Amino acid sequence: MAQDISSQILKGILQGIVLIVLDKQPEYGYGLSTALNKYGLDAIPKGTIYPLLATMEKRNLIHGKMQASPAGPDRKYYFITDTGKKAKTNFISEWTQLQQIVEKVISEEQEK
Amino acid sequence: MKVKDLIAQNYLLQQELNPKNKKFYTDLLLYVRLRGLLHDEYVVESNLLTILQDILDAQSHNISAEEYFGKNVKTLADELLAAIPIKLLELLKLTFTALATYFLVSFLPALVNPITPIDLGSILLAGGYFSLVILLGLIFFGHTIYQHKYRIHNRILKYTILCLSLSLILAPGILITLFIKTPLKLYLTGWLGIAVILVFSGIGAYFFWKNAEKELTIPIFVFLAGIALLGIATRLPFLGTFLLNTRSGQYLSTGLLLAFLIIFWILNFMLNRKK
Repeated sequence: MAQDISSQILKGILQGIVLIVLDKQPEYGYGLSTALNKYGLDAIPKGTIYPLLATMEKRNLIHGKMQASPAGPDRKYYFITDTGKKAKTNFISEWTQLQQIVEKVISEEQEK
Repeated sequence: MKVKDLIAQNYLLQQELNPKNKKFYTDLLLYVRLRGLLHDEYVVESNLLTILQDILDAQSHNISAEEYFGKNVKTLADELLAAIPIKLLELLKLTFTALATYFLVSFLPALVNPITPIDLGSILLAGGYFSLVILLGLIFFGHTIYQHKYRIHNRILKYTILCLSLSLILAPGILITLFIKTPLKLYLTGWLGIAVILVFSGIGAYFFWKNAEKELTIPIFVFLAGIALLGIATRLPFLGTFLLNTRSGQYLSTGLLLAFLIIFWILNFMLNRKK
């Protein structure tokens, strides 16, 4: 399933999903991985999200900030930036287009 | 939060890991720290702390670190490092730390005998060599952490190769201190010598106090404190004359030096057993 998808495509999709999740509310690493699991991405090893978060932070899509967590000690929470919000809108639009194209191709294939 | 706070918190939280998760995380920590020597230290440490806190969360839900993080640790760690910017300042910081540590460790013992001048040039040359060796050694060690196929399982063979390699690597540095003499000599006798010892002991104590993992540096700190006290004693008007010019004084100072070395060895042994 998810593990079979080429890693590059997966990274792009994962980045879009992370942006959507973080736009709802800021999250720390484990909170984010739990949120991803809720969407059915539990097959993805969560080690994948750390390089992704670091890359997204480098590209200024998200911003990490240490702050107190409900459990007590300070944790790094990730916040979506304005650039990240634009990237999220782009992702949704590109994904919708891609989804329509793929659905059209598949339905033609199934009609044969 | 500063880098030292992140490191201190990381060290404290590691104690909460179960043995299997601790092994998993320690390997990852060593690999990322060593391979990330030239990367922005704050970003490296904040990522390491984030991963540790998340592994602890997973552990509290009965999920092992490997199950949570995945098996392809090396690739993920490499990808993480690729996303962290390289900072040349880190190289300068690292070189300075290695040089300063060598200087402190070799300079204080050299001050024990007030009669022999201190060859500052020779110490700096050897320090430069050892700093380079330490940097290259750390980078090489980072490469070996996930290289299971090159691991030697025979203990005797492993330690023989380790001892031989260490001797070959350290030999040039020792030869520099023994045979290269420079005109940059310092005579630090009397109160001037005592003042210099106190200043360098203060610097050493400051670094010891600031170190997040104090326990590991206790043996060398105790050894250097003993050496500093002996260096001061040999420069005091009456005690110095007794320690340097009388037979019983010479026996006493040699005995004390040996005692400091034995204490250093015992503390190291105890620390290793505790681990």
